[in-house]
Amino acid sequence: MTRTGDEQLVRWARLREQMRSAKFLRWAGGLIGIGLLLQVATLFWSHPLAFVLFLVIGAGPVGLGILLFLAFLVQVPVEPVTSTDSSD
Amino acid sequence: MTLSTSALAALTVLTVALIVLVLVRPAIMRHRVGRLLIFVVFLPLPLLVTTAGTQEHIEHSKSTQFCLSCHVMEDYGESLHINDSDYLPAVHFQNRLVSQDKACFDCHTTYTMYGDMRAKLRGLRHVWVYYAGEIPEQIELYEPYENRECLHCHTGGRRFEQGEDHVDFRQELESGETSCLECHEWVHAVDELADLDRWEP
Repeated sequence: MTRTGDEQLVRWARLREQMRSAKFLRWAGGLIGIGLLLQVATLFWSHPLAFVLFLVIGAGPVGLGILLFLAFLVQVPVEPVTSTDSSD
Repeated sequence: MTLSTSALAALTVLTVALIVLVLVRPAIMRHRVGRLLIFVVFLPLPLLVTTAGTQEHIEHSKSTQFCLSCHVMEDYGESLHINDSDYLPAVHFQNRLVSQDKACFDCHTTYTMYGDMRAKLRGLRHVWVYYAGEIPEQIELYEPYENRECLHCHTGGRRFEQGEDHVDFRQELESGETSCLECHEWVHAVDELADLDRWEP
């Protein structure tokens, strides 16, 4: 196998890893977003059930989303920063 | 709706908007600032908003309106309007000896979610029973009403400190040996509401 072929394989592997990470991020974002919207909906209702809903259908997805995000942080490949900031 | 509720709602919506921005523009991950933004909107902000939301709900739950939102409590709310100063909850509520907005919480400070873990679980059970169970006809406190609930306001007050009976029974009242309700026995009286006059503010 040529050197170009090796590089291509590495690039594909990295791309696949990035896509997998992006999927984690999408799921995490979706869960956190939905959870937060449900939380905000319960804030305007002064009723015992509102607090239960806040905790179960609001905080639950947010907690799950945060766990997924932490998993994403562990998996995400380290890439060089492409910032144009001179301090980098 | 209070200012804090509105501010919290605004912060929550902002967090969701930033999450959406991250999801539709994943390319920002390539930049340091973008990564920092992702970290902030996926971890500290949701945690902050959820913690503040929990605090907000706890504050809501201290309100009289919150307690009376369950129809089984309606009669207890109605008893605050009895037009007779011998009835303790009524005289406290009508003369603003307790906050009218937090009338229940001011006198029942260890009830359900304000109490220990067992009391909190009871609160959850109340919600379950309200929707899925059978509500008992006679609602009673789990434990006898403690003098502490009276003394945390009345201790140091002139009427309490100089009242003859209070002086004589001071030790017993503080130790809980004698209940305040032995003399001040007329409380919510929900069974007598139909026969009592109502105070209209």
